[in-house]
Amino acid sequence: MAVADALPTGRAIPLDFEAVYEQQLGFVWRTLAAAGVPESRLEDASQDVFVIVHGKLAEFEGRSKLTTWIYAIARHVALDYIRKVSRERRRQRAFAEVPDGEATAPSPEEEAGEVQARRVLLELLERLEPGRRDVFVLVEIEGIPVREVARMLAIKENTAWSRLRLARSDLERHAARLRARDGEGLR
Amino acid sequence: MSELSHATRDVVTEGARALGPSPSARARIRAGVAARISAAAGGAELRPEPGGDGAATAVAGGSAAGSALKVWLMGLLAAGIVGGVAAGWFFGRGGRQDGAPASAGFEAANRGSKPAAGVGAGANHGSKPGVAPAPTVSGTRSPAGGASAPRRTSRGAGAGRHTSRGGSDLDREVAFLTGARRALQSGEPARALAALERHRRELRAPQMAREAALLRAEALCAAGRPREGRRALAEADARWPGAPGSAAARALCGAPE
Repeated sequence: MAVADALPTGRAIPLDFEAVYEQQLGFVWRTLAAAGVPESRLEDASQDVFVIVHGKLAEFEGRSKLTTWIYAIARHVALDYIRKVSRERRRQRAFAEVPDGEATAPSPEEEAGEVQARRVLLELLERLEPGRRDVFVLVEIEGIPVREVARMLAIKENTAWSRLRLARSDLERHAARLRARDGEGLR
Repeated sequence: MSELSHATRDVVTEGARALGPSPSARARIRAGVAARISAAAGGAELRPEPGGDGAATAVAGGSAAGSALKVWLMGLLAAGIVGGVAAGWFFGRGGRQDGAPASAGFEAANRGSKPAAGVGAGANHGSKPGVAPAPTVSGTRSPAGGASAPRRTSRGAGAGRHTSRGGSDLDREVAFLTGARRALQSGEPARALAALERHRRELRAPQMAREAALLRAEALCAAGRPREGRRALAEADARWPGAPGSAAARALCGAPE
């Protein structure tokens, strides 16, 4: 799944927020989800990202790729949400018996294969070490070249390759465990 | 470099395909972003006047750049909230039996918003239709250009019932909710509640009743009336079961997810 960058680096024309929104919403959503923002908060978190993008779009000078810039914003927002959710859960646990995770009963839609596929992937990603997960998601899901991913994450290219290799190996191991656990649920 | 096995690759590919916002979620996000940008823009021009004409006020009171922003916002609010939330969510939940694709609401939202931007900005600015110029270059826009856009949007979305004063209910509704959100953000929950009360009293068939109900719950909790806020949230849950977007109200009221 390739991420379309609105413009190459060093752009000379102003960015159009509507076009950026249309082009990047999917990427933002997946970044937030892969970073661990709960499904129930993805809409709010996506809104936060685009409100920030709107406020700062005029300052975006094109020194980095648009995707890199938006990725940094999305990661920042994701961390805020994860901290917030974790605080809320601690507070709720102090007052009542509230189970971890999304406590809602599965809806008919959630029974669908699409939702199952999403859940399985998120469960697998959640088990990866965060640094490896970031590289894996950007390379394997977003289709961004490793060299570019290294730039996005401000790491050396060799480090990015190494994390990718470890992430793949970890994911294989976790997937095998899931297959053993869920059988048919995971091919 | 080790590669993923075929089986695991399939899991990743299928999961990634499913990992994205649904059409109705896209529409709700658009609407939310539009409302928040509008509130942050401090658009006094969107404030409802007593018994006034929301759209006309919006144009007359705005700066040139502000009017371009409003064109986009109105397009998003009208198309996103009405087309997306009303069609996408309500029909998406109950109306799937009619065979319409789940993406109908979002598509309608997009169709609704683009012409609005084209009319407001493109016509005066020479930019391509359907694309609103970036806020950075909006300084040369003619206020007159923005005047027609919100009305076009309302008609395009098929949602605005025009009042005898010339503005549409949708314009006024957007103005009330924007005013309430802004008041809430400025720490004036009483003013937010007053705007929402006017929204309730003055609009016979509100298009954004759910958003108003959630804002009211937030305002009540912010005003130190958490019991009433939680009750308002529970009522909203009962009326629109499973509808997302209430995280802020829940957090503020200390209500469980």
